[in-house]
Amino acid sequence: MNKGAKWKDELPVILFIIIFVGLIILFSIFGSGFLTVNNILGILRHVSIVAIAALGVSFVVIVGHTDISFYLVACFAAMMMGFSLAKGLPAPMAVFAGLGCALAFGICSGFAVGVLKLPDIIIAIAIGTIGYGCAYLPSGGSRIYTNFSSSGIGFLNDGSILGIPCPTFLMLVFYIIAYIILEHTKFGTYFYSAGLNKIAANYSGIRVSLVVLVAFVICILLGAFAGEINTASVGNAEVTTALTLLLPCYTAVSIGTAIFKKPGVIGTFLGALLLQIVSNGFTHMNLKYWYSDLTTSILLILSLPISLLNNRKGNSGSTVKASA
Amino acid sequence: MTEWRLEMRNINKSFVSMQALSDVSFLVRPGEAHALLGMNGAGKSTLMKILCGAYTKDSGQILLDGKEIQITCTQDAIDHGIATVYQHPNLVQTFTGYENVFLGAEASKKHLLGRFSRSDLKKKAQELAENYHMPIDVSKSVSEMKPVERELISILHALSHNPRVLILDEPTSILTRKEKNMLFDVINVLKKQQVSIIFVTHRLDEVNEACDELTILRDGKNITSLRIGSGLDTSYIAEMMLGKKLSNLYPPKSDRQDGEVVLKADRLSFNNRVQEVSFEVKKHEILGIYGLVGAGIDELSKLLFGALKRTGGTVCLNGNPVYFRHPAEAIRKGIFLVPGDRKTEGYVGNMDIATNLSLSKTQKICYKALGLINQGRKKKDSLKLIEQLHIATPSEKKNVAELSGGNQQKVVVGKGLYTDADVYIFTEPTVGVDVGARYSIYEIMRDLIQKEAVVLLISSDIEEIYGMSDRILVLNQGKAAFTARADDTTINEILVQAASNLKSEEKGKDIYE
Amino acid sequence: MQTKSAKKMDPLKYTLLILAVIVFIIFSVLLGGTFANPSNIMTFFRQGSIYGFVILGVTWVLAMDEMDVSFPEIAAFSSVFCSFLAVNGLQIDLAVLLTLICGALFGLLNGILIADLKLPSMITTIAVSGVAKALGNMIAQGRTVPITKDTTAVFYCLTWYKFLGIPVVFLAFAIAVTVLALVQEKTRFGQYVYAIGDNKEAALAAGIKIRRVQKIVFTLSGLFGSFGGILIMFMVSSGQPTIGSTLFLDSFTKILLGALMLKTGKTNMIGTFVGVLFMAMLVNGLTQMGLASYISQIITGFLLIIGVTMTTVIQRNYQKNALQLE
Repeated sequence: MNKGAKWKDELPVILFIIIFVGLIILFSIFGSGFLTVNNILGILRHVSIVAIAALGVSFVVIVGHTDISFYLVACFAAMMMGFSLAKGLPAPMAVFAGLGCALAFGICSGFAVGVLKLPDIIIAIAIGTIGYGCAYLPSGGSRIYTNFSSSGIGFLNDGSILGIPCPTFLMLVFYIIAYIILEHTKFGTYFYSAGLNKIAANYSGIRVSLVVLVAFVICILLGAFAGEINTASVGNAEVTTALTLLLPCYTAVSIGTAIFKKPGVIGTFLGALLLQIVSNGFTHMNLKYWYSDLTTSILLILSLPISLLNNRKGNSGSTVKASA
Repeated sequence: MTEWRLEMRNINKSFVSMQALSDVSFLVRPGEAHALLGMNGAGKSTLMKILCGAYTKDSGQILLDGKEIQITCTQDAIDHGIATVYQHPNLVQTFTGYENVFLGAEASKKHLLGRFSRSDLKKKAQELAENYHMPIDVSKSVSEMKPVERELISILHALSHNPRVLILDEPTSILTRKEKNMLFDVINVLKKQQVSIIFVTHRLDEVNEACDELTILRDGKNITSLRIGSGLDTSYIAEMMLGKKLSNLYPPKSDRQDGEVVLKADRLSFNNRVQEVSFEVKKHEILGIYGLVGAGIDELSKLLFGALKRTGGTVCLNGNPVYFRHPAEAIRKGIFLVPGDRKTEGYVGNMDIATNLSLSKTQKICYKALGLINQGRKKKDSLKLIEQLHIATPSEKKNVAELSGGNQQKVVVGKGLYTDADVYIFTEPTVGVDVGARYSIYEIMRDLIQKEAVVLLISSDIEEIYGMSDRILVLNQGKAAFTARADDTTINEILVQAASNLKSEEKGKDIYE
Repeated sequence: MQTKSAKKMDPLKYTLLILAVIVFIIFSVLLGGTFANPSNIMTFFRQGSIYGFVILGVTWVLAMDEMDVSFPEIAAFSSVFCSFLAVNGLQIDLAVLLTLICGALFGLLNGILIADLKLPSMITTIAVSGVAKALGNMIAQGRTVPITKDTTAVFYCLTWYKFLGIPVVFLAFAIAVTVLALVQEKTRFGQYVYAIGDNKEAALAAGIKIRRVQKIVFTLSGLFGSFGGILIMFMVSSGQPTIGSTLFLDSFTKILLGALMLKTGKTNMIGTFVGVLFMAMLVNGLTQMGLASYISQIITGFLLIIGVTMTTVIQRNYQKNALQLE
């Protein structure tokens, strides 16, 4: 390998660092109060919602699929949590009630895609339609306030564990667990090989359909949990609570893939962090949210070709079969 | 006007690890059917892919009717009147036959909104089929067609371009006698229309029947070209195709006595692609299973491994009947398959060597609890395997997709060794593998049977089967056609058994039709 | 649609039509005259047609085995952009024309990224939809942009006028579907869309210019998204930056219902047409019965799952049988 090729290999990382540092400098010059301890803690708190959902998306992307229903099901889970609270359930139970509903959807789409091998996009649309329709069921679409402040659900957002804000703490826990699973257990190997080559993975004795099912379940559960945290932070349950998750989640995963040449835990986190810095920084520059939306989309478009470079190289690099 | 329709002169082509063609020349007259013969890896496919635009040549000239032409993509070849019928018809499944025949040439107007009428297309396709006496219903949807009909549709597609040169790549591999005759009739009609036909094949009997001239390639070089007169000396041709260095290509066979039966298949069936095949493999032996394309050898290997579910018969491993619903169960019971298509079935590309090597037996590199990977063990074991198999790589972290074909295959084999299986099935283990790596793969197979394992070598490479196996089973159109000890038979006999049409079946057909 | 043998593979072929008739009868019985009267029928035909225009282009995107999730946001952007231009004094028809060009350009952007740079269509269109949404919000400053009623505008007539008691927009929709269905069935272009969707390699080997077809199809998707967005703007008399998320699911259910039940699982114009009217009828009937529209969402979601499962399972069985017959 010559020097030029090596430099090219590192290009995504260099690019990311330049953008990352550049943005921070930009925001600290033009935005007031960007580079303060409080604000940085705020970024770490606010990044957690997108980061947790994006972590789930990473699993589905790693096994080589896409799921565009997770955020719709998350709306349903959040509504069910609000509904359970209104019915007088204690906060932890309500959280699990919401997750339970999401789990059912996750198993359905995982089974349909993994075991029955139905096309993931159509299934996502069907599951998403049902999920989002169901989100209206508890209240007919109106917001649920009942018992929100008294149940202590706010802890999910405002509380702190070991001195760390609760969402940040949970995010760190999820990321550490996911990192260990993906990088240091055989299950991680299963996820990656299922995504890279389903047939070869099957022939190696890996039950690919099960692996795909599990990935979908993880994706929907984490998405639902992110939706619940968002609901807790807003202080009432509304059907549109998780609708904004789709774009940033895929952008975060795609940026991560671009940096590390494969979808992964750290990459996704860096991607989510970058997006949160953009949105926070724009707020400090008194720019409306659509500027950060625009930046997010452009970052996604830019990250795509870079993240694909590695794959293409790998494919064309394999020797051509010269059989007669 | 020159004597030649097509001249390919001094063609060179090399891939990463090997010289596929060196100074090959290939000349075809107008109105002649020219057979291109050679064993696996002789360079036939490469030469034809250069001609039809799938590969580009490194050097050399291509002349058509005396004028030099440049072929850089498939469209160039079509524009020059060079049409190809591939071994596996590449058709749009949901379209009807006639839509496929005229795909890309529906309307006379070139622009995209050019209108066409399906009934006209259908009529034209029917006429075309009638011209060549092809009894085919072109209005059927391709997904409902039998393989033969698909083959005919792709031939019609090629003919719809009014080609000057028509390449038929292994066209007869799945055809019955009757269908073959039909194809030969088509070839005769085409010859009268001064179309040149290149007939790529393994089967000598057909060459005799349909072709006027033949060219033999071996190891990417021209061996000979000759006219086919009244008769063809098949054994001479076979010798030319094979070369005469069989003995030193293969490690010597062991003279150990056979042990007890390890794997036994009884009337194993899969739909009608594998029909009631029975065999047994004894300890310390290599059973070679030979068959031409479409004979069902690949299916057979997957049946034993649980990748396909059998529709009949039984399999016994060490005397116990087994049934696998998933390869995972087969691996647990000690069967490992080195699959035929290593890129899509064998290794996981874009993943490092170490992970690939341990993929089939991850528990060996894991701590007991939680499936945590012992990275040290993983590295140590993979380095051991890399050394044992002489995999040429700077590190165990290298992406398998970036290795050469031979080393990739060694990784797949190493993956198998790591499972400590009792039964190893090697399907086409040396396709696209250079000579050195080939020999070491053969050595591994010999080593395996010295130990406690048995090996099934499933291949369409006759030399390999003959050189490596202790006993040989020949499949022909899904049926077991012939078994013999390797010492008691000859390559010619195996070839004949694999390529001949099953007499009984033909007779049966004649009665019913 | 093509031959007698195609029917065998397509057992669900007329299910959607039959279902539509059954649902119609049920509503007529339950609701009586309030449902089954011409003016109500015309109401949901009109409603359906307006939302139907949005998805005409994306129908072919799916047929080509690609994905486009950007058209709802392109529609939202168009509704805002057009009203913004009109409010700022541009002649309304000119504003519409400019907006349509912008919509088509968004589509073309998708096409270039996907066809030329070979990016995956799903993620690419998520990104482009983000751009469209952000630009729409930027123009509208996150609010709706009301327009003054201009009865002379072409699109106003299209949205509101009736011809012999039939809404002009429904006639236009029917004509558009007819023209597009003819293109789909009778021209090379239509043939290639489906050939690419089924087997890209075969299409390439046959010398079809795949990238050009892809770019045209994505451009059309943007164009029709924009067209529908403008119609919605005239219908509600304001530019709406947030209609995207509501359009998204409904649109795909219509297309996929039409596809699963009319042409061996391939999305197609006639199927989309039927899907659009079916959904409009369902929502209309359920609303009159006092049920919210989300109930229809849940119902159609289940219909989709049943549809896709049955189509796939039956097709697989069929292919398996065909293999055994060899």
